[in-house]
Amino acid sequence: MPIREILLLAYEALMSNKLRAGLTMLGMIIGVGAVVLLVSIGNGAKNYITSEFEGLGSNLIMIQPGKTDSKGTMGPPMGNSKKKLSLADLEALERQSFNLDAITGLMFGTAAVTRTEATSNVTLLGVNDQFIKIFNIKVGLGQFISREEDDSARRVAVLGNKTALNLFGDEAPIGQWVKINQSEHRVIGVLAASGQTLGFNMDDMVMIPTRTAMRLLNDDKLFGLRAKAKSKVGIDDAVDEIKAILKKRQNGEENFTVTTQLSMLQSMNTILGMLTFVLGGIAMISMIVGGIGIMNIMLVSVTERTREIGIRRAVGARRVDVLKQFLFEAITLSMIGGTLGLGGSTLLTYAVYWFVPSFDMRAPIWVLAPAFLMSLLTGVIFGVFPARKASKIETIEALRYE
Amino acid sequence: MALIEVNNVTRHFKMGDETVRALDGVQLSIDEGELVAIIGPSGCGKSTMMNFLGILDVPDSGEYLLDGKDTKKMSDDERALYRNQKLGFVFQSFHLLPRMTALRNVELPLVYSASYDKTHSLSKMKEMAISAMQRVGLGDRLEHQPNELSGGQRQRVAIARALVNNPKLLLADEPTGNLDSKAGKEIIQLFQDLNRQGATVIMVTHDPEIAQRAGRVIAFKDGKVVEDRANS
Ligand SMILES: Nc1ncnc2c1ncn2[C@@H]1O[C@H](COP(=O)(O)OP(=O)(O)OP(=O)(O)O)[C@@H](O)[C@H]1O
Ligand SMILES: [Mg+2]
Repeated sequence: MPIREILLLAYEALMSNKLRAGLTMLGMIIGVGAVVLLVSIGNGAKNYITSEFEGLGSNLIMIQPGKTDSKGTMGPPMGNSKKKLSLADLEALERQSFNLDAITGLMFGTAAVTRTEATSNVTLLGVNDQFIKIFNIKVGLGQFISREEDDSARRVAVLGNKTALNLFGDEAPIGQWVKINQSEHRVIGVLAASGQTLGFNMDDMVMIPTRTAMRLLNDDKLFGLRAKAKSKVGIDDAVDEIKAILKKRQNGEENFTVTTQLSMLQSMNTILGMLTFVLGGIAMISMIVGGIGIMNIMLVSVTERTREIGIRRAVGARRVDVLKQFLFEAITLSMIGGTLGLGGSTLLTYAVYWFVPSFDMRAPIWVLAPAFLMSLLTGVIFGVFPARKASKIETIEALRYE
Repeated sequence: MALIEVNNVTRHFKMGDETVRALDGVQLSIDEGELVAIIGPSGCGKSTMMNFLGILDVPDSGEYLLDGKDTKKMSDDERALYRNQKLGFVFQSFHLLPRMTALRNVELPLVYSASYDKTHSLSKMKEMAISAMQRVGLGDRLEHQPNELSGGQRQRVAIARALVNNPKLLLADEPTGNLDSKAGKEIIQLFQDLNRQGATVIMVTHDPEIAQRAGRVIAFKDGKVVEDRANS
C-alpha cells in the first residue's frame, strides 16, 4: 500500500470522529507538554545558577583549611580542622604567586550591629581591600576598606545596603559610628544594592578589615582565603601554584582544599542536569497515560471497523497492510498530539520568559528531537497491539460482523 | 486443466446442538472461460459456496484446487494476492466502505495492487476506477457516498469494484438482486462481454431468465449439487 494512501486513511479516520481523536490527543498533548515544561524549568534553573555563579566572578578560587577526599564536591569544607590557614599563609601567597590577580583572607561570623537603639543581626565578614575586586562588588557610598586600614586593624566598617538602611534610614551613614559586638567602628562605606546571590545576601552584612575581625572574634586563624586568578584559562595554573606554595609551608602536607568557582559550577550543573532528567522522567508517566488512551481508542476503533477490515482483506489487503493502516493511525494520533503538546508548552515557556525575564526557562532546542521521538515511540508502542489485533481478524468472520 | 476443481467439500456450522450442513459433499469442476449460473432455494448454501470459491473461507473437509493450486497450501499472503490480482467478488450484501466515495470504493483493490505492482500511478488508478464505473453505468455518480446511492446503484458500485482489476475469475453473488430487469439485463450483458474476453464468470441468481443466459447452470439444494446442466 502506498504511503500516501496510508496517511490519507489515517487522516480520514481521525476526521471521521474529531471529538474522539481530539480527546485522545489531549492525553498526548498533556504528556509531551509536561515533559517539555519540566525539562525547560530544570534547564532554566541550570542557566540561572550558571549566570549567578558567573556574577560572583568567573576566576574565583576558594581556599579552605582541611582536606576533603572527594573531588568536585559542592564547595570547600566548612568544618574545623587542626591546621588552619593564617595571615602568614596569605602573605606568602601574595608574595610568591604569579598567577593571582588578587587575594584576601576571610573571617566569617555573625555580629550584632548597633547604633543607639537600632540593632541589626547580620553576617560579619573580615576582608582586605582586594575583596571587592575578587567578588565584583560595587561600593555605593564612601569607599571600601583600604590596605592601610587592614594592616593596622582599624575599626572601620563597610555596611551592606540594607543594613545601612536599617540602621540609618534617611541619614547619611558615612563617618557615623556603629557598635559591632560592643566595639565602636566608623562607617566608611556602603555597598551598592545587589540583592540575593545564591542564597548569600550581600545587602545584609557588615565588612571590617581582616585583622580587626580577628581581634573582634578573638581568633588568630583565618576562616579561609579567597583569590582571583589572572585569567580564566590560567585558573588551573593558579590552583597548582597555590597548592605548591601552601604545601611547602605545611611541610609537604596538604591540609587545605582549593576549589574553583568553575568546579563548583560543574558539580552544580551535574546535579541540576540530573534533576532535569528525573523531572522529565516523572513527567513521562503522563505520556504513558496518554499512550494508554491511544491504545484504548484504537482497540475500540478496530472493533468498530471489523467489517471494513474484512472488506479490505477481501479485495486483496494482506495482514501487514491492515497492520500498517492501524499502526499509522495510532502514530498519527500520538504525533499530532505530541507536536501540539510540544508547541503549546514551548509557547508557554516563552510567555513565562517574556513576563519574568530574569528566569530564562525557554524550552531548549535539544528537547525538540527527543519530544518528537517519544511521541513517535508512544504511538508505535501503544499502537502495535491494536494493529496486530486488527491484522489477525479472519476475513470471513469480519465480513459477517454486524 | 480446469480452473476450479472442487472435491467432496463440506462446510458445517454448529449452532448449539444443531449442525447446519451449508455444504455437504460438493463435487465440481469449472473450466476457464465458462459462464456459470448457480441457482437454488434460499439457505441452500450458495453464498457459502461462493465465499469458499473466493478463498475467503476454508472448508471443513475436502479439497479445492484453484488454477491447479491446492488452496489449503496457499499462505495468507498468497490468498490476498490471488484475490487482488485474479479475482473479482460481488457480495450479496455489497460490502462497500461507508464514508468513502463510490470512486474510492472502486479504487480500493488497486490501492492494494500497488504493493505488488510499483508502476501503478495515482492517475492510472483513477482512470481504471472511472472506466469501471462507466461500464456499470455510474459515470455520473463518482463522488457519491454509498448512503447517497440507491440499492441498485450500490450493487453496481460493488460490481465495478469487482471488475476494476480485470479479473480472470468473477464471482458474483446475486448481482442483479436489487436491479430492475433492464439494468439487470445490462449487467448480464456486461458479464457476457467479459466472458467473451476470456474471464470465467460464476454468478448466483434466482432469476431463471438470467440463468438461461449462462452457458451452464448448477442447482444446489441443502448443500448439495442436485443438477448440473449445460444450456443449449
Ligand atoms: N456463519 C454461519 N453460521 C451459522 N450458519 C451459517 C453461517 N453461514 C451460513 N449459515 C447457514 O448455512 C446455510 C446456507 O447459507 P447461505 O448463505 O450459503 O445460503 P444461500 O444459499 O446463499 O441463501 P440466499 O439465497 O438466501 O442467499 C443457511 O442455512 C445459513 O443459516
Ligand atoms: Mg446467499
